[in-house]
Amino acid sequence: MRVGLLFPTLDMGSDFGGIRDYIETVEALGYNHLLVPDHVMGAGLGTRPDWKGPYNYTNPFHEPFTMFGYIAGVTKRLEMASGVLILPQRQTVLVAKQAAQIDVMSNGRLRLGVGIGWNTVEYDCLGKNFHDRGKRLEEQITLLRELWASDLVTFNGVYEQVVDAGINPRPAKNHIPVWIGAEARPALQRAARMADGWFPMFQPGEKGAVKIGKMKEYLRDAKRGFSDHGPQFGMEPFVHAGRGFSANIAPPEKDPQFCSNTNGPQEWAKEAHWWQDHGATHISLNTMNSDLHGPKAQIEAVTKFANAMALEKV
Amino acid sequence: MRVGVIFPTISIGNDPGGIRDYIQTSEALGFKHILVFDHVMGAGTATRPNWRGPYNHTNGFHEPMVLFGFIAALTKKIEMATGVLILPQRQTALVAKQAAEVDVLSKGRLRLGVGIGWNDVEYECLGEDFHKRGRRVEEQAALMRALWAKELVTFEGEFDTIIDAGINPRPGRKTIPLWFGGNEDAALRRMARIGDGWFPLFGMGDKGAERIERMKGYLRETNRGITGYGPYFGMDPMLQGGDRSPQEWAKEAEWWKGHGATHISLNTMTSGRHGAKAHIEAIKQFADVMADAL
Repeated sequence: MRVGLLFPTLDMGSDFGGIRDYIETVEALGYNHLLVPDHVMGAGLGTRPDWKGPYNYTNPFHEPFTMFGYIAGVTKRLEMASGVLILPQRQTVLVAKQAAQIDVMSNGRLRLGVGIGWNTVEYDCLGKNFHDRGKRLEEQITLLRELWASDLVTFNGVYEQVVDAGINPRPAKNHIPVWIGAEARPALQRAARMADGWFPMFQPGEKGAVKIGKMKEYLRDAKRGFSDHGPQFGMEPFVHAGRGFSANIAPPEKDPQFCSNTNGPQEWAKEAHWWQDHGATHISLNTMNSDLHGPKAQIEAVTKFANAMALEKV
Repeated sequence: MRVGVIFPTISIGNDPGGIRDYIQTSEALGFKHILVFDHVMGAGTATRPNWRGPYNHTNGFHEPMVLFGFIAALTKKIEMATGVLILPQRQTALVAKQAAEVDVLSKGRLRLGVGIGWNDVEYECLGEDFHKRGRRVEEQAALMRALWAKELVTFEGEFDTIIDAGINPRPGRKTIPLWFGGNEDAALRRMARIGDGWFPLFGMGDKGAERIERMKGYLRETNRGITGYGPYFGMDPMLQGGDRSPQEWAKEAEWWKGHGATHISLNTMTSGRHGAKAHIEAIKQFADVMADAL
């Protein structure tokens, strides 16, 4: 199981001196990857008194693609993953181009996690339709893969048209892994059908084990020639050190039989090992919303987790 | 006059080690900026036998926003400029967001040069309207500036609508210099009105001098109080390396300086230079003849 971190974008501030220290430390501690979340626009609350979204305009989100260019320049082996890029609100061809550029600058260290998101405000600001985003995501993934694989592409889709054109440079391996963040059944089935891996959004425990079993069923239904997690289909869950992805929504419900809320590195490791026993190929620790403000406090926490997971320093 | 280089995007190759050497050498030699071209898609020529565009799918264009993240990580002082980003084929809010991120992670070293381009194939692939690009670029400039300046923006335009939303983080300086490329009169008038500077696309000579004067005329006609090139409106011409000697480059640079250029950028992408080494060699020669300015 590959051990990585979610870049704690909400708690890092904007000083890239400190952020650079964090990135370099993460690589030196032996982490496999850094996962960067994505939100392009934040909604104002003055005009939306009933806003219930997990984020609003006060939450800083460092933009993943430009940051990956930066991380590629700072590191040598750390894998970079978007977790997740809200693909249907972006132009497919530009995502293909920028992802390929990251792959080239990092010698093939990009994993593209994508999802459909929840925030209509962002879609509106970016001029993309919120309501057909699931269907568009599928077409987008197909087109992305064609653009990475061939010099020239002709693609006549429902939403996308490309006539005899291509991106240059392309990824050296003609391919970038595409993972999907999914919760609802159609999204899980979509992931089983077309993704290289998925990000489960639930907690360890008996309920979680049932959901993993469901996903295995979907994989069998998709007849992709494998029935389990492993090299051909990845699974990357999150261990939440604090209140989860957002302080504005209820924290994840943890099953005390399998994990505790004492917030210590040993408990984080215990959860990680539960996931490993249930087929996780990757895992990420989420240190956001756990009162760790700024790169220094974050570095301390991820150093403890590296020790608890017995990572090999580089 | 600030002396910089044009990133040799179509002939430097894809080796990140070589690209790193080129970037770090540019800074070490004292160049003030690296300017990067932009094309998202290349057109196939088999289905377009009459293709006359300057580029096609065989030309590699490194994507500027991602490349700037990489450059920011490898340098401390050098400015990064797009020259030019084809703005109307991209989503305005995403360009504002990525430009802001580049500005934040480079500690304020971005200059965003924008233009409307010529390649309808790219616009079609990106799902944007090629024919309205002139009008759109003007609206986009206003919206991006609003997004950089304020936490929350409400903007109802012809092409973009934003209701009470914003980007975060924003640039530390609350703005990013916005320069324009273009040759046509409409483009020149537009940049005089709303630009922080321009990229002339011609060489030295009497015809060039005439256009420089024409641009000054357009600047005077605006209400911005700008009478020529200087601190409030920049001019960054492209010095074509070609087959000429470094002494000839320096001579043309001198001509531009005499005609008000605030910046100048050397293009080494012609005359058969391939790979990072050949381009590093060329910019070293340029640094030698421009030693007084670096």
